[in-house]
Amino acid sequence: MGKGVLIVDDAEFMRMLLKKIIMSNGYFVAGEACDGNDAVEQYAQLKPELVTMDVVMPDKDGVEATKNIMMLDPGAKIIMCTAVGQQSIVMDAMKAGASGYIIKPFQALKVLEEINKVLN
Amino acid sequence: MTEDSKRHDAIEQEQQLVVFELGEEEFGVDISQVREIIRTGEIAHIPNASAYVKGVINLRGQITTIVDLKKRFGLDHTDRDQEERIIIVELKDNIVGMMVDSVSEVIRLPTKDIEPVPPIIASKIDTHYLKGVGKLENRLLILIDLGKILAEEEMLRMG
Amino acid sequence: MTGMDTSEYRNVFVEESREYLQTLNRSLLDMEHSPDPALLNEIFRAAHTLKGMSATMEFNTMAELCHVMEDVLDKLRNHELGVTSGIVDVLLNCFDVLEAMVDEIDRGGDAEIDTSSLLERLKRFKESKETGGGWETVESEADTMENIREINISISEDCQFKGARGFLVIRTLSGLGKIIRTIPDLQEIEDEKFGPELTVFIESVEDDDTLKGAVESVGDIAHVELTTSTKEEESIKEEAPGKTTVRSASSVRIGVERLDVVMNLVGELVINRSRLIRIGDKYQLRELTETLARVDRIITDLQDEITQMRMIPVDHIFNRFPRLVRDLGKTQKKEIDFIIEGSEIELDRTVLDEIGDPLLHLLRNAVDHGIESPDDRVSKGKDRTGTIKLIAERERGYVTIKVEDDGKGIDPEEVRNIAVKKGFISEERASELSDTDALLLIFNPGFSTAEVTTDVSGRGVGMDVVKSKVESLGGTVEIQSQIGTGSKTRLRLPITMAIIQALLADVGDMTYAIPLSGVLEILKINTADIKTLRGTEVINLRGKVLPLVTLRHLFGIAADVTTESRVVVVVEKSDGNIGLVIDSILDQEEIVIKPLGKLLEGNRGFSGTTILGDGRVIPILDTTTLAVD
Repeated sequence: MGKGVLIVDDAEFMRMLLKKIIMSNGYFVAGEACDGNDAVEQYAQLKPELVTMDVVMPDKDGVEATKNIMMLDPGAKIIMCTAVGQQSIVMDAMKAGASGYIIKPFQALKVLEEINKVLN
Repeated sequence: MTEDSKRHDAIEQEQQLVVFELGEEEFGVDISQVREIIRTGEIAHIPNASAYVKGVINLRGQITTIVDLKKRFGLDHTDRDQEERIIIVELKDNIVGMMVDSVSEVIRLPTKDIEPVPPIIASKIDTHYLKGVGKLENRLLILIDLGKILAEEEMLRMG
Repeated sequence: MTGMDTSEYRNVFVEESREYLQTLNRSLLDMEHSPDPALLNEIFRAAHTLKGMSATMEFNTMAELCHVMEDVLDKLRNHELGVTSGIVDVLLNCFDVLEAMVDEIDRGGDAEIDTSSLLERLKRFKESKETGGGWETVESEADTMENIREINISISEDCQFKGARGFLVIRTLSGLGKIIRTIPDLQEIEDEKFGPELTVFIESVEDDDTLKGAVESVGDIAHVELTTSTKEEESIKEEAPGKTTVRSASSVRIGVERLDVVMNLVGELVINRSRLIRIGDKYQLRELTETLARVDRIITDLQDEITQMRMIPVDHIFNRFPRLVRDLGKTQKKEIDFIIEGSEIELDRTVLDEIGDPLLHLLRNAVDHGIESPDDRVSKGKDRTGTIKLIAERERGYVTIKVEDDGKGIDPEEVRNIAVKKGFISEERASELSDTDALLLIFNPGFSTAEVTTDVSGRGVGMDVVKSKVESLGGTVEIQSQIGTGSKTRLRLPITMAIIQALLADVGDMTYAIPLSGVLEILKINTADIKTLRGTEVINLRGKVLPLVTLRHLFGIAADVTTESRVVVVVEKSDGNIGLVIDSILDQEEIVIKPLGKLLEGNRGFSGTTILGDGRVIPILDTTTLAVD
C-alpha cells in the first residue's frame, strides 16, 4: 500500500468529489490542500505518492506549486486538474514536470485511468 | 477593497521557507533558492580547503562542493545521523550543497512576522549572516542570507 | 523541419556548404580550361548535395537554384549541351549567389535572395530539351542508421489536450534514447497543430516493447506502432520529397556535441573497466583478467580514434591573431613583428575553443604592456621593432602554447609591492619570495596589472581568468620574465581534455591522483635517506639535491611511524624538480577529469577531482602549485 494521494483544490466540492473517486478504488487520501503554498508544505510533510493539482488557485497557482514540488522531490508524480480551454496552462504544467492531467467535469473512469497510468 | 486584492496583498507579504535544523536551532531559507534536497553520502575531503568546506560529492556526475553549515556558523559538532541532509542551492552560477542536521518542513511566514536581527540574539551564530528572525507561535526561525555566506567564502579564497 | 531541428544543424550546414562551394568554384574554373568529365561530375555532385542539404533545411530559394543548376549540369554531363564560357559564367554567377546565401544563413537569415534573373538565364540553357521535373532523392549512399525506430502514435480522438499528450510522449521517450526527429516538429506538437497522429524517430538501444510501453504509459493513446530504420528512409521520401538526409559515402559529418557524447561514454567505459579489473584482481579470475586485457586494447584504440576525430590544428584560432596584433600595435603606435610557429599542431576541439580568449588576453598584454614604443626601444639600445611570438609545440601528452615578447618585462619588485598593498600577502612573506614565485602573484584575482604598466585596452579580464580557464582544462600556466628583455607565458594544455593517465597515491586514509604527465620517476626510499638542508627535507638523487614535500605533513596528517619505507614521486616544476613523499602507489589509471566547484577553484595544489571505478571521488593533485608556499 502506497503513501496515498494529496488532493489540491481550492474548492471543497472538488476535493470531495476527487476524494470519493480515489477512495472508492483502493487508493487512500494522504491529505488535502486548498492552495499552492499549502500543497508544497503538505507535500514536504506527507511525501504522498501522487498529487492531484488544481490549476487555478489563489496565491500560488498549480503550475508554480508543481515547480516547487518537483524541486523538493524530482520523482514527484503530479496530475493536473484542468478544464476545457486551458491548453497553454496545461502545457506549462507539463513542462514544469507534471505527469498527466484530468479534465473537469471529472469522469471517474478517466480519472482512475490517468492515476493508474501515472503510478504505473 | 475586494476579496481578491486583499489576497494579492497577502501574497506580497509572505515568504515560503524550507526549514532546517542545525544543533538546537531552526533556520529558514527561501524556497526559491533551493534546487533540491538530498541525503548525505560519501563526501571526499579536499585538504587545505577552508575548515567549513566539508569536501565534494558526485551529484549525478557534477562535482558539487559541500559546506558544513554548522562549522561555518561555529556551532558545536554533533554526530551524523539518519536525518542529515544536504540542501543543494543555486546562487548565481554557483551550485553548492549545505549540510544540515535535518530538513523538517516547508512553511509560509508573513513578512510582518520577520524582524530584523537584534544585536544580541539568543543564537550562537554571528549575526552577520542573518537576514532576520521569523517568529512562529512559540518558535524562533533564523533566516540566513545564503548570498553572504558564499560571498564571504569567495573572499577568503582570494586571501 | 523547422525550429529545434534546423537550428541545431545550422552550423554544420554552413560549414559543409562552404566546402561544397569551394569544390564548385575550383572545379568550375578548372573546367573552363579543360572540360574533363570527372570535373563535371564533381560539380554536379556538389550542386546536387547542396540542393539536398538546403531542401532539408527548408532554404527553398537556395534549393531551387541548386535544382535548376543541376538540370543544366545534367545536360552538360549528357553532352546535350556543350561547355561554353557563357555557361561557365552563369554557373560562376550561381556560385556567387550561393555563397552570399550561405553567408546570410550563417548570420541567422534564411537566404531569401532574389534569384529570378539568374534562374531565367539558367533556364534558357536548359530549355533545349525539357527533362522531367520533380526532385529525385539522393542515391542510396545514406549509411544504415542502426537502432533508429519510427514510432507512429495515434492519440484518442476525444483527447482534450493533444499537445500536452504529445509533449508527454516525447518527454517519456527522450528518457529512453535520442529523439532524432518528430513529425510534426515539437513546436507544432505543443501548439496542437497536428491530427491525432504523431511520428517520432528515436535512436534507442531499448527494445520495442519498452518503447511501446513507455508511450502507452501516457494517457489518451489510442494506438502505437513501431517500425525499424529502413522504413524511415522510405517514409520520408514519400511524405516529403526532397527532404533527404544527404551523406557522402566516404565521410560523415558529425557535430562536436555528438563526439562529446561518445567521448563521455568512453569515459564511463574507462571507469567501468577499472572497476572490472579490480573485480578480476579481487577474485583472481584469470580468464576475466585476460579478456579485460583485450578489452583494454580496444578501449585504448577507441579512445585514440575519437581523440583523433576531435583534433583540429591550432591555426583554427591562431589565424585571427595577426590582424589583432597589427591593429592593436597600430593604434598604440608600436612597431611589432608578429611571428606564429607551429600552427599545424593539433589540439582537441574543446580545448581549442576555450583557449581563444586567454590567448587573446595574453597577446593584448604583450602589445599593451610588453612592447615599448619605438623611441623607448631605441633609447634602450633595442631594435625599433618589437617581436611577439605565438608558438605551439608538442610535448609528450601536452601541447604548449607560448606567448613571448621582447618588451620591457615585469618587475618582480613592483609585483611584490602591489600584492602587499592589496593585502594578498604580508610584507615579510613577499620579501621571502623568489622572483619567480613573486611573479605568480599576478594570478591572484583582483591583481590589476594597471599599476605595473599602463593599461590601454581597459579590458575586464585579469591573469586570474587566464589561469582558471587553463586549469579548468587540466592545463597549467607559467610565467617568466626578465626586466628589460621581455616576458614569456607558457600554457601547457592536455591534448585531449577529459581523460588523463594518473598515479593513484595513498596518503593516510585518502587517495589522490597525480597526473602522470608531470611525473619523472618513482623512487622507493627509506626515512634514513632523508636529510635536512636549511630547514627543507631533501634526498640525494644521483648526486643532485632533490627537495621533498611530504604530503602527510602538507595535508596535516600525522607521520606514519609503522614503517620506514617511503615512496617518492619525482615531479617536474618550472623552478626545478621536487619529490612528493607519499605512503604508497595504489595503481596507475586513466582518469576522467572533473572540475572543482567554484568555492574550491582557488585551492592551491588541486586541479580537479575524478570519480574512481568504485564510485569514490578523489582529488587530483596539481603538482605545479602544490608546494608553492
